[in-house]
Amino acid sequence: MRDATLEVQRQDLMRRVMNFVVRLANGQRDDAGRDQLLREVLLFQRVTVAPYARIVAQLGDQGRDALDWPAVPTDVFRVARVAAHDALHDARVFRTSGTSGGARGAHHLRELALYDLAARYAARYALFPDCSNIRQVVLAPSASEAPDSSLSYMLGRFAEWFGVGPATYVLRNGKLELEQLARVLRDCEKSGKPVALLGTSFAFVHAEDGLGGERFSLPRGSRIMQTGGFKGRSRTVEPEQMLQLLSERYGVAREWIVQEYGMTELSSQLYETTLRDAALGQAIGPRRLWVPGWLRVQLVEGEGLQPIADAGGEGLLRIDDLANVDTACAVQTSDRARRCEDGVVVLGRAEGATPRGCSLAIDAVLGDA
Amino acid sequence: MSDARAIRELRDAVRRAGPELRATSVEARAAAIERACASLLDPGSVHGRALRAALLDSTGLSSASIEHGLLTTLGTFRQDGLLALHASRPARSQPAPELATVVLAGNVFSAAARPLLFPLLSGCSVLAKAASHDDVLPRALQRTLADVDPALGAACAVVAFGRDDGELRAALLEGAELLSVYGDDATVRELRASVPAGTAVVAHGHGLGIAFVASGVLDSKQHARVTASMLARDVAAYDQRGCLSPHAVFVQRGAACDAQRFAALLADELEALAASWPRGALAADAAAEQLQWRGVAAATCELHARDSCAVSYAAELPLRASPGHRNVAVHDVADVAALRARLAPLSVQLKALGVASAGQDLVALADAAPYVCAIGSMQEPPLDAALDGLHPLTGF
Repeated sequence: MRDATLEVQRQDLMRRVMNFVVRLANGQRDDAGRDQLLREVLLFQRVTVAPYARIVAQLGDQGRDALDWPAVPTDVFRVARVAAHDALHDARVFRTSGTSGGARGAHHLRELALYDLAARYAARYALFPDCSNIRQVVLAPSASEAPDSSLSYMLGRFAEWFGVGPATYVLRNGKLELEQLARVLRDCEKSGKPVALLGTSFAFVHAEDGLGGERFSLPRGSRIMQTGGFKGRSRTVEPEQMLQLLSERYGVAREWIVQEYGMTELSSQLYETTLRDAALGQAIGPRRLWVPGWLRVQLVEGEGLQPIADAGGEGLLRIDDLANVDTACAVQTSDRARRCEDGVVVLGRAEGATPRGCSLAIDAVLGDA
Repeated sequence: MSDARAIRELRDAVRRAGPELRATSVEARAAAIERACASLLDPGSVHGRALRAALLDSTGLSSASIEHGLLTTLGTFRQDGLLALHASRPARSQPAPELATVVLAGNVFSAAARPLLFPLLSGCSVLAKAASHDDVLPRALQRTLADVDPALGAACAVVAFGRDDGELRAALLEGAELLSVYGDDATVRELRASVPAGTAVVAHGHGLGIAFVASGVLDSKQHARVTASMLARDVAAYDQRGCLSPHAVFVQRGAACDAQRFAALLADELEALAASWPRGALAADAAAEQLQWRGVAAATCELHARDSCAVSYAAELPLRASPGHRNVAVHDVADVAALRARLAPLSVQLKALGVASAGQDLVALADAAPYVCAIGSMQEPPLDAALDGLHPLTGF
């Protein structure tokens, strides 16, 4: 932080964003209030986050409303430090998985309070709307095994916030403990108490492939949260088929199985809506990602980055996350998405689908050049 | 679309046509190839008209880009040049194959011409597998050859299917004598492992181009502008999607117009060129890659972003693969020796080096890449260019 004035400004913004998140924790919306706060944070970040300032200066129009400034593409987090503070003040650094080769993206968090608040309230709203203590079985590495994984950190916190005792981790040292998974789930069946199965999509696929004919009938209220793509770590399974497989394997109704959309570069998460609808006995709407009120989600066309206004329009997903006060709120992803009612449906990553020339395979080589 | 049976039938048919092909003199084969290419080059001919309409649909390139690609590729297939090439072919220790199985890449439409026509010139039947989305030129060549010389047309067949179709791929590779593969390393590896033992494999891996601008040609603004204009043509051709397309430009220090200024000049020239030679529409995935590339450039260095192009001034930052579509980086370099050091990690992936120099740099760098040329002609290799470091008729 360059001077005391900016530090005061930062603390004021943190306080107001935290209050805003708390105010919208139960799904309320205040888009005008969000945009005003977002505008202030973007102006603050243009002064304090050097890569963002350069992007705005070179790709945007500084005379325009800050909400219209370009976002920081996710690749920038791989090559530059995107933070308003210096490394000495990092409380935690989350890193991308690096499965695509080259440098890993890094998200430098100065403190975790706002991250925790956003993660907790989004999960409470969409993943645990009906319970505050549920047994958790995790198909992902623990935070001690993967200290720079934002997912592992978040799942570790879930056990504290929504669990009954420590979670059971069935993925250790990169190996899925299938016998342990089966034993724990049989135990849940016997106890009649619901369980939350939380993990990466590719770990669920490995479980699917490894469990053979074993089937479970998990108690009512059990739920599954899967996240992320397959990243070449397992065979690819289409979303609809995945739902079917998980439902049949674990005996969990489809609406109690949801996808979480999270990114290392963000502090907030988006969840599909069906679990909340089912848990609260509401009509089940179309499967879509719920956008917490402290996020602004836009679909933009890729060439000029203009927002797509059509109700059912498709475009590249841009997320402005107010909880990223210390880094960059405006994050431009390469994920294609379309609007669906009040939410969005992610259609997949828009890269490599068509040849971009002969250079497709040489990124790694160039990394050394 | 193809099915396995159809592929086997086509292979048998082109093999049966082999004796008649080889009974035709090399002069006659070269003449037929020239006539077929001339027919396709003529926008007024039936074949030429149909080709242009189909390429507009399949490539995403503008008409002007397509025209440039056709002219600079098919226009080189002249009888005299073909005969000279044939006369210079390497000696063989084994009998020439009767059938070449060719797997084409899908990045640049005109890249199909050499793989399809060189075997025929050599008297070798050819069964070519095109990318499922890019089979326009090979099919047009086959049809036109059949019109101008039935012996050549009958010895050539084209199939198209997706790379993941194992059944069709197996049918394609059955009994392959010579497999010529254009594609990325994974494709080459996969196909090499799939052919019968004893099959000769000639791999044409993917790569990129780099340009070098010596300080001597940037001694005045006018010279710098001319250099930038020439380089802009290299970048713009095929919308920078080819193996020869420059991804980065190294500008020698000490020039009156330094690398930073040259980057701005190149952006101006690319933008000006787009008026007569527009960039094709960007697909969603290409647009996503472009926005990531431009974002990183804007965040880390100086970026001149325009509607149709972008040029970054990246000083001495590490090289990054461009997403193509007229996005290119300009770097500083001290001299030819430093340039060689920067190029070394690219190894065999470096396919082309364009050089702008008033001195001896072109000669000094002649061994730096398989294809070294003056800038402005990076995308216009002559017929005998050894684009993979091999004689173009190697294997046939």
